[in-house]
Amino acid sequence: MFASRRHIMFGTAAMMLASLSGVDSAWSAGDVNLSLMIWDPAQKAGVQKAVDAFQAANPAIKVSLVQVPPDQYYTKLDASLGAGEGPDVMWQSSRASYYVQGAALEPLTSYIKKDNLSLDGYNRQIAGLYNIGGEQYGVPKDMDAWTFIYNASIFKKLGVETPKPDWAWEDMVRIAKELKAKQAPSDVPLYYNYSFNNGVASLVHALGGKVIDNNKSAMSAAAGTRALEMVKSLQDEGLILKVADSSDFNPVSSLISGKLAMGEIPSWNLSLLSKADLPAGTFQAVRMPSVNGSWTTDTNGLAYVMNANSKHKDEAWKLIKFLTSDEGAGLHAEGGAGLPANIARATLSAFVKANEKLGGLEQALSVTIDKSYLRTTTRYPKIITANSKINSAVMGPFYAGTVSASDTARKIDQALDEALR
Amino acid sequence: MTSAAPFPLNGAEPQSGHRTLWPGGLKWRQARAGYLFLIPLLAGLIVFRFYAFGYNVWLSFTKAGAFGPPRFIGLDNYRRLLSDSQLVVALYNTVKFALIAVPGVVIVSLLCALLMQYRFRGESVFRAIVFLPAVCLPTAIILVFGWLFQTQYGLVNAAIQAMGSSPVSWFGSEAGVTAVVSLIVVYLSFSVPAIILYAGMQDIPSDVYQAAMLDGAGPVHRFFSITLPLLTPSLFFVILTSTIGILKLFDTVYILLPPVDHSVSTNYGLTLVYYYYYLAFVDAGQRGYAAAVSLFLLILILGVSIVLLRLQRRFVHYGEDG
Repeated sequence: MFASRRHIMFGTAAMMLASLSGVDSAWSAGDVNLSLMIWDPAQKAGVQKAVDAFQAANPAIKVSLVQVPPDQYYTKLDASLGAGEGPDVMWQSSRASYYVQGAALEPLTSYIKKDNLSLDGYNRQIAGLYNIGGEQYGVPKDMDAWTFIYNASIFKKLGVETPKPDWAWEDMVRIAKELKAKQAPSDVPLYYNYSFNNGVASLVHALGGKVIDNNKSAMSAAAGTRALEMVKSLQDEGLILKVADSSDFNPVSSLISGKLAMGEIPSWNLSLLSKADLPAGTFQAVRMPSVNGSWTTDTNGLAYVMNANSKHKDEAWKLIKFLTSDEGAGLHAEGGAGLPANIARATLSAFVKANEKLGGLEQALSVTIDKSYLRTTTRYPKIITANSKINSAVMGPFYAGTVSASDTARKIDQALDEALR
Repeated sequence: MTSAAPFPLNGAEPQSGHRTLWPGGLKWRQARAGYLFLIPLLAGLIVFRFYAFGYNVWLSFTKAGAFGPPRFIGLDNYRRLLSDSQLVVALYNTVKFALIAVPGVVIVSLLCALLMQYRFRGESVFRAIVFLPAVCLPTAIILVFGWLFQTQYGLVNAAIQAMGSSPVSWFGSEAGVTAVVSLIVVYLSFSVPAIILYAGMQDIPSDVYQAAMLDGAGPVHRFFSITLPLLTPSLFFVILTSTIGILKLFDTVYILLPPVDHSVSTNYGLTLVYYYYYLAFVDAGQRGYAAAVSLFLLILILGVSIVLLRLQRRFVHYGEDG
């Protein structure tokens, strides 16, 4: 009786193993399985396209693409990398240095040298971002470009002059005032990023100033205070939505619904506009307005990096090299989301073509890419910890009108200096 | 002198000479089965509670960033607690929500429990409505409330505008955030307390009410003189559990004011658990300091619980047996 029960157990186990081997039968013995982890759902289609091409060229390497919700990405990554596991290849941002300190990322310098890969083919600032302690840890994937998008049909309906490619801040204010005078009271003429890191700090750079100078916060300098006053005046004049009321305001959906006439939109959101069910040419792109005759926009960029504990490092490197190559970056760009950091003309053209419903995009992006400045939190990752406090505890009272621009700048200096220490 | 077996089985005397757990106790073989059944629970407790708690305590004495090994820094995180202005904001909001929502939960659940005592048309529908928040997904409820109170397109503001008033910036002011968050918390939390209070009301002997009625006591008098005093054990339980639950408030504020937006309104809804989450898992991660914040919350909950337990002796009526 006992022996027969044992036989049944062995038999069941053997059948389970046999069924599992049946599942695996599609994979040949020499196949290598790589995992690739990303966070942006809008970019998944583009990445998958590039991955499919990679698998077609490398039949012995199978890549499983995992898209983790953005707010869970680093939590999952930390848990898996901390346990010595995690994806073979993943996206990294300005937090890369933390992972380098924790020995979780594989240095890529030797791979780059071995394959004679030139980093000149990528945006230099973004490539430099992933050079930590003289070692290259990532190959640039994409970069941010902030352009202005306006809804041409609203301008036509209201009979307002549209923004010109060489427009200035004063033009933006004048046009916004004209829109406000003709729009319905519940509509919004302009969206300008009012947050500290992506809005005010970028304007400081456009004004020729610096947010951090010699590893010390410089917001109290003239450019810092001026930038704060300029953004607040947009709110005070009713050209942008009152900042306190903006927490549930989405500029992209407001542009699509016709509630918003024009706004500053990052490159990673452009595909949402181009995929909107509206006629081509409804949305037009221009560069950011110049300030005092000069202009620049802040940029950040992601890179593909390799897990130091990957069991298939050569194959992982092959994947990184392909995804960031002219071909791979071009295929990714065809998905329409994520402006490639690969500077080959064809990759930009692929991105523009994927978003061809947005008029004037190529010109707006070309000049923006040339005039980009590394975002403050990107250049100084230490201040990421101060960013949320500045936005909620410092900028909130400033926009509410209870604290002056100079006092706000001083408080920002304190918060940044504390984080930089 | 022999001691009695703590858990005698069928009155059987323990046999001498056998290995027992304690003198006169269960036989080892009998107890072993019990311990085997306890193992899964104990393993879960040890790994997910005791170890995690111990690790968190240790982490609070370290500088642990987004990634990499923590570095011991002694009491630095606790010193930082004393000068952290954001912690003051989080503490203020947490206490504020508790002070508003706990009485809200008690009053609403008490009213519902009282109504459930009576027989009326649509009584079963009413009971279903009362229990609905307990069986619905909290996230869905919070999202629906968020849309209702949306400044631009929300139905609440549409109704306000239809009545000729200006729309309210629900998420743009401290008063707006406090009102919406408190309303959602009360709605999400009142169902189970209503059932507990209703059950408590069933335990009150009907002859007490009959005697009061014979003495000419009206319904209001009966409620304040009989129902409320005899319901204090259930009320105390509801107050204690609701207070602890609301001091740990996270999901409502996290969903209404998501951290990715770095909104200027975040500070209106920042609670201690949200602040802990933000420090530990958002942006660059300050897990060592986040652990210290979580222990601060533990001490707060412990303190509030002790105060409530002390007050219990004075205000809770357990009857003659209690």
